Amino acid sequence: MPETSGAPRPDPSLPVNAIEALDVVKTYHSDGSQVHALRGITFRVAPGEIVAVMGPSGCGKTTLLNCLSGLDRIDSGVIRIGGTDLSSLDDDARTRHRARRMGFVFQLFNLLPVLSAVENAELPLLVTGMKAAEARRRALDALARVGLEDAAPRRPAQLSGGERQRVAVARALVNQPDIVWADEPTGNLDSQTAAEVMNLIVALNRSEKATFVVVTHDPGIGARCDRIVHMRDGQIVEEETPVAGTAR
Amino acid sequence: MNSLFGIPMNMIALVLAATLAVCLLAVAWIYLRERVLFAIGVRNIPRRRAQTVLIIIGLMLSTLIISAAFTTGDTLNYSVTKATYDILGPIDETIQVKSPSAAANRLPFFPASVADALKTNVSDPSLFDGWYPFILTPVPGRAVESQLTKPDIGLVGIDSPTVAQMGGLPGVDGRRYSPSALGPDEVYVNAHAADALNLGPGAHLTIVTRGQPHTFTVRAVLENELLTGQRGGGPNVPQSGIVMPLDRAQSLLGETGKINVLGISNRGNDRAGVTLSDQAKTVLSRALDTPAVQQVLRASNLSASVETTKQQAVHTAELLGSIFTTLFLVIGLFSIASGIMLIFLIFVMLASERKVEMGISRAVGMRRGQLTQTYIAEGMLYDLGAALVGVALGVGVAFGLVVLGTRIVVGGRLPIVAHVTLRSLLVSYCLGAVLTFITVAVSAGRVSQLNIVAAIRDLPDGGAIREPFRRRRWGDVGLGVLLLVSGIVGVAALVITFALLALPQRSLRWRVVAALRETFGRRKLLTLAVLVLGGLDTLSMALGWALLLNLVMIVAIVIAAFVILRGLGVPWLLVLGPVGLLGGGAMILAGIRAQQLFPVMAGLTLIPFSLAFLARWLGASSRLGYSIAGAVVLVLWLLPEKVTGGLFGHLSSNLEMFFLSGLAITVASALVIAFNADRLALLFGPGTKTWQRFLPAVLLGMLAAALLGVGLGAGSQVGDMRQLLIGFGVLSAVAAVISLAGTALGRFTPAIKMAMAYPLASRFRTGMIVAMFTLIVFSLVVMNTINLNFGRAFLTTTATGGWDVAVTLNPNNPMPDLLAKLGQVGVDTSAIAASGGVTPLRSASPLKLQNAGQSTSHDYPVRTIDAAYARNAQTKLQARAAGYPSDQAAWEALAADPGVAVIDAQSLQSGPFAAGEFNFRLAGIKPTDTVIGHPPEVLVRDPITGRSAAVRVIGVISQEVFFDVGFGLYVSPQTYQQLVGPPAYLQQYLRTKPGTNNTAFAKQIEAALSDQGVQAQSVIGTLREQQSLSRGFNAIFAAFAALGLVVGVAGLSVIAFRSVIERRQHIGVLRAVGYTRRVIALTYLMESSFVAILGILAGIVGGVVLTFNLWHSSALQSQDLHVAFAVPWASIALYAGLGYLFSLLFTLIPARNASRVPVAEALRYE
Repeated sequence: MPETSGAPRPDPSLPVNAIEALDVVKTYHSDGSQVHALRGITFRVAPGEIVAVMGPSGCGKTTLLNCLSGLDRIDSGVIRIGGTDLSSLDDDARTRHRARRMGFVFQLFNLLPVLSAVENAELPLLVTGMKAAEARRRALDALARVGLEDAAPRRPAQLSGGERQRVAVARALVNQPDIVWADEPTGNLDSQTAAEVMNLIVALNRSEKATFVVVTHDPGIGARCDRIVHMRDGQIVEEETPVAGTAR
Repeated sequence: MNSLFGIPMNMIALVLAATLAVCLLAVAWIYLRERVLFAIGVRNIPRRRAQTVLIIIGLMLSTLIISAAFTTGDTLNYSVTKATYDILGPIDETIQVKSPSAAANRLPFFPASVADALKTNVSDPSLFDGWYPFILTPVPGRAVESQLTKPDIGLVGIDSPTVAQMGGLPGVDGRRYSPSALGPDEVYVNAHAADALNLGPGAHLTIVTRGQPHTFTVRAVLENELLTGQRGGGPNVPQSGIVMPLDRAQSLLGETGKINVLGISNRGNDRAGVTLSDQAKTVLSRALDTPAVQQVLRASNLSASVETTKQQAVHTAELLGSIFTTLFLVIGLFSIASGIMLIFLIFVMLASERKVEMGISRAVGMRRGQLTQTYIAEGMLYDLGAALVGVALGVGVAFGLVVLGTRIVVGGRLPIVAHVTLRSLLVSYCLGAVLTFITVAVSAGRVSQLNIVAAIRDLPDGGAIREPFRRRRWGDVGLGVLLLVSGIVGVAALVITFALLALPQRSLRWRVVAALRETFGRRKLLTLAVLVLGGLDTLSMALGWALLLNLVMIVAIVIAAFVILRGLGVPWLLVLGPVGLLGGGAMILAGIRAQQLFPVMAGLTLIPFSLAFLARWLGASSRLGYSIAGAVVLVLWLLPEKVTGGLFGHLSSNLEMFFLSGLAITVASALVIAFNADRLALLFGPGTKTWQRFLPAVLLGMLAAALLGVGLGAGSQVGDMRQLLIGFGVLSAVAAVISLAGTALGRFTPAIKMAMAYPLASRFRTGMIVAMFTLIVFSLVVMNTINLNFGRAFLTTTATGGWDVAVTLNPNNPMPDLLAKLGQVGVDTSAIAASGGVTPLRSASPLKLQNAGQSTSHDYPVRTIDAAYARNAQTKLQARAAGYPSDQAAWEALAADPGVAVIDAQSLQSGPFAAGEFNFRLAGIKPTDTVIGHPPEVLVRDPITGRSAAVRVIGVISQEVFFDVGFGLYVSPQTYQQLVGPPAYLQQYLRTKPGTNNTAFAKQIEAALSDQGVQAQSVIGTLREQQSLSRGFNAIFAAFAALGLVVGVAGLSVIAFRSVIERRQHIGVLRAVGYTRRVIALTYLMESSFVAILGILAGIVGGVVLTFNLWHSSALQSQDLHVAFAVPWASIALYAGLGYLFSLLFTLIPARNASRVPVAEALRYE
């Protein structure tokens, strides 16, 4: 049985930190030159927290998100997710870990154009081995939670930008993950739709108790998070707790 | 090889080179007018090297197939002509002499003085550089040491001065030998004799002449040549020979002062001399008619003629080369068509990859035509490189596959020498490059039709939106009108060119042109052109090109109509629909008028598709329209002939129908599959209910039941359809098992889901790949099934003519009563139930046959049977004159009535492969007739003696009967004697009692009569041996056809490689949400499996059903093929399995690449 049907969070048995990064270094090598994307990042996120990662373009926000989520490898340091050291897992184990405990929302929505909204949403469940009928039921439920139950049979090309991102959110949450990684989730949306999507994320964070790490340029989005981490040149330069964040 | 499909190769090369030049000029025009566009187009080539390599591989496949076909033709042509030149050596012509008293199967002897008289009476002695009088006659022989025997060793008697003209006889050791060097008991043997009898220098050989044995010592081994005993019967029949001085041979044979062959060498070397053959024949024939020569001939009661032996052999070799090239090209047509689809696909994929870039280009002001030109520039450069690679690889494939294959099949019968001519390379290159250019130009036109907004936003095109009427472009309308006129003028020019080329001499052609100019003047030549146009149809009918010209005109008019209508802004669907309907209708009418099935069926196939286009324009869903059109076309092609034949009556058809049927069935099934593949996906779909999983099996079962119903309705027997039904039963069971397995394999669901999603989302690509596989598998299934059934048909008792053992007697040791002789030498004759004798086919002199009421006559072998044969004949007739109650009654009538004859079924055939050495075609009986209402009269004449007789054909021998019995015109013994001379029944047939081991019995006869030069063989054994040769060739053809599978596999592989790049971001997403590397790789493998299996299945079903109908068509069933229809399931499974396996293998690398895409990087990819 998939683990996604587990107990509601936050679970007292979970470690104090949902995410823990210690002295993480990541360098890209290209055509003989080196780009130091992350220079010894140390960073912790508590279960159920929404953290915004902000900073200028090229400061390493997306690289940090990719490394923390296990999509990319690090050169040195330690990353623990829910207490599990990612470097101890091989590629398959990391993939399974992602499938069971994580969800993703991307700036470009990254829905698969050949699948309908509900088929996109049910993918994370199918890869965990859930039966098709059950996966379909839960995917429809997830779409209903983001207000898109009527869009289930429609393909991404037939949806608006906001609808697509809501489908992406439904896909991210369908397996009831511990952590949702959101890379510029509103970067491709107009301000009104962006606000709607952010409302949705915050509401789901409350109802689902999932941890959210949101990479954003938008101070308005950052202001609605529990904590803002500012990055520059591959390092965390400042952390702040916005006033609005506590009240949201 | 000098012609293809009857068109001179030089003309083909010229036309193709000119066409390629036009293509290159078009690209040069783009370069000169739009240098920037040109640069944009070609910049991708060096930038994306891996992609360039992939595209070149895809583009070269058609050229590869074409080049391989031409190289095969060249190789066979060269090998056979080389063997001919090697065997005939310097001899270009031979003088053949006839004597009414001599046995017909033995070259008659004549005084050596004939040669001297001829030599002194030729008007132009400088034309000849050698005269070769000699003796060549078969004798039985036995090697003393090895005790091996040979019943028909060619005994050559030749004198030293004759041999000295060619510098001596060539030895296998490279030295030259002369008969004068032989001791009184010494002979030379040729290499065949040395191999067959295990002879070498110093060995001893006994030969029998006039019943007396003579033993000789072998002095040396010579090369195989006519002058060392390699007789007629073609270079592929190894013949042993011994050589001795002429006077000794004359003495042994009792023919003192006589020879039986006079060979003549023309001026120049062995190859150059043949070009003078026509001139030499005229000079020699005149010399034969001079009183001095006639006096010598008449004194011996002889008549003589000149045979251009080498020229005929070279012509036959060239015909063989041409037939093989044509066959390989026809077989290759499927692969070429697949290759064209692949090129189309590659460009569509390229366009899809560059969609955003193209959209932006259009948005910033690039016109649609400019976009097309950019693609053409890029495509042409790929094309020029790919055609070069294709030609080179095609030569390699031909040398590797065909040459090695033929060597294995033919063995020592014919030395195969790899060879290719520059002209063939040029034709292959130009043809491949032009075909590719046309495909590139069409696909460039298609990809430039994009919706700018959809392209920029990378959205799917609004395919469902009805295309509106566009702005009129008068330039295009003008171009269309120009095309229409030039099409018609082009046809006129074609007619004039053909008519001029048909004139025998070049000077005459110029005189005709000059006369026309003189009569009409420069301006009036235009008037003449108009007159020609007016009378075009009449002229084309008179010249027999009605169909070709009608088709050319239809194609020109159709293309012109397209261009004009598009120029007027009419939407595509509204152009395709009506033009297709008109074109289809015109083709049906043209076909009915020319009595040809091809255009009728092509027209009938076009109409449903055209209706579907119209229906789409009127708002019908594309799934409904195209599915119905596809299904109608499938039904049209897969219905039995008895159902469809009633519509138009009997129309002529040929090999081209094979290609058309394949294409129609492929396109139709690809449409049905592509538009309904989502229904097929029910097999695996996650939400599928259990009962739905049985649907494919139920559908296949229903199809089988429908086939059974139609088959039974059309008169087939259940037993006949057994194999077909078993096949469908197995397919249904497999479908059911796969369906049920789908429920049990839940962990594969994520891979299956994505593997289905992509092919279902891009119908065009899926349809193209399915079509590529279907086309090739279809051709393989049809070829193998037809071969299997013909093979079975030709091993029945009908095939043996009712005989079990064939006994060939030696002309030098005649044996009037074979059965009595067998009893004398201790053979148990109680095993013999019946016997019969015929004059053998191999030595039958061709006489001239002429249909009553016609003025032309043609060569044909004339034979007769003895009374025993007539009494015991079980040789089946496929058509018999009314009034003869049984086949045997007809044979008995033949023996008794000098006015009747029986002929073989091949004399009724026509078409490109019917023509051969004997090209008489009987009028008055159709191949499908079973009863001869009015026996047609044939005039038989000996061109040398002038004797003639008229006979009525009362029977046609079944096509199944083996060649040695089943070929020739049989006349009564009296008529034969009157025309040719006393018949010698040297070919005897025995029918043994049941339970006799015919092979052992034949060996017993041969052993008992070896010193009489008798050969005996089991008839069925010989047939099996012949079949193994033909099976070998079929295997080569099939292997060549299977090359097409490479195209299909390459298509899948190209798509898989491209899709890794295209779907990079998708792969990133899938990996992010939890797809492991293995599942990603599995997705790719399953996707290619899904498409390949659909294509392969469609090809198998279409091929088997079409062949079933073909086998039961009136044309084949009239030939009494009494075997139940069989399907070569094992071969089909092999090809299907190999095709599938290779598709998997070639998807492995892209699948592996896909699984290793770095996730974070892929997610950033746009």
